[in-house]
Amino acid sequence: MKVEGLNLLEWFVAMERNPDEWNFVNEDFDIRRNVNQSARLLAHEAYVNNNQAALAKLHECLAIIYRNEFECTRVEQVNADRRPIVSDIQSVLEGAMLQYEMQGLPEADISGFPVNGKEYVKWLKKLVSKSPSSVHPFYTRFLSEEATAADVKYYLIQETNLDPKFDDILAFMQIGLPVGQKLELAKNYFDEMGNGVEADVHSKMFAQTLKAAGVEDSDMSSAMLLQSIVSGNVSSCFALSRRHYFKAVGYFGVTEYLAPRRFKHVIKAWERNNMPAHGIEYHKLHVYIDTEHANGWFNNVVVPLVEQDPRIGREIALGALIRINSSARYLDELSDRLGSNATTTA
Amino acid sequence: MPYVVGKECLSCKSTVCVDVCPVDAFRDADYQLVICPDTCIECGVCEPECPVDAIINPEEYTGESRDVITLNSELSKTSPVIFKSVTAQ
Repeated sequence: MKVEGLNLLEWFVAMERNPDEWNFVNEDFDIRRNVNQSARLLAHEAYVNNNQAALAKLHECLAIIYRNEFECTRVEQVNADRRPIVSDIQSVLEGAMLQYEMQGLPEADISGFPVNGKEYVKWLKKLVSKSPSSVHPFYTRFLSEEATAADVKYYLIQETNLDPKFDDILAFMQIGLPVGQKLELAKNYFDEMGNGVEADVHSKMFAQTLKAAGVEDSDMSSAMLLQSIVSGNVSSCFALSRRHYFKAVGYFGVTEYLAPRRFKHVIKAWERNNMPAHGIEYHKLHVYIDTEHANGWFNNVVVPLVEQDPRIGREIALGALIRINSSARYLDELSDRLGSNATTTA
Repeated sequence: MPYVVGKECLSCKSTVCVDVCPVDAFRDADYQLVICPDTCIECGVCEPECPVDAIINPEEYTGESRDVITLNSELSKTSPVIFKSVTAQ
């Protein structure tokens, strides 16, 4: 099956330049059918035929869709209703992405868990421990001992796909939750907000960290690795859709859980290269704060959810495994790009 | 309260726990690892790594844990920091 007819990515980029066009296109069902078919062809080419160029296009399309959901409202776009067509495309592309992420996961890893909440958390942590991204040589060997300042800069550019929007992810996730879970995520969110101190807002601190490492805005799009974009897209998918909340709990819980052990090595890279102190302070802060977040998340969100309904345990495990596996692919690609040979899964 | 390493480590000392510690709290005593109570931040990430379940969560301390806590505290004062597992070195 070839990608024929409408080039979805080019069409999407053109539509984004002319937001008023969305309302006309919404009324044209021939175009909507054509766009939908193009999305299906692109998904098939990317995930069934393993065409890497198609995979990159698919994720660029998803990234555009999610960027619109995470950005502040622009006054020139208040009359542009993207939903009819974008929801169609998003559903097709997300469906293909998630099917790929979930295929082949060992049944024992998503079903053989204890139903007692605390025992489940122990089981989940063991699941993380045996994964290749738990202790990845990109951190333990490359960043810790070899990476140059330029390597650290390149790594930080990739991290922009998740780090700076984590506060918004937490905001999206809180909607409609019972008080106990909402309180835990709200505490986490308030930490992201610097506990009310503007200078301590994490997204602001991360922006300063990027600046300290010499990252310019122009560096962003050109240097972005495919698996970094994929990780960002999976994160956005889970944060934006209420039906994926349980997976999001596993996915982002593991993200918080793995951060301290990884940031230890990022700090070593900053120190070894005599890079500005700001980046060291930012990562040191997260060694401590993400430890608290992970434990709070496990005890006050995961435990009650699993005890509420054991079926949720499967969803949380799915989210955790998707995080583990997508993270391993991302770190392997990053290692390949930086020539470190620090890969585990290839 | 910090995590501590129990006597099960004596038969194993695999050291894989060391690679996940974000603050380098493990100390390499002669026959087992111990955790420095002044360095440990109680994150608990080491606990599931241990192949012989030697690491004790402070929430699960029992009367017998007192000796283990003392042992970790005393040995950590004289034992060197271990930064990497044996397999990672």
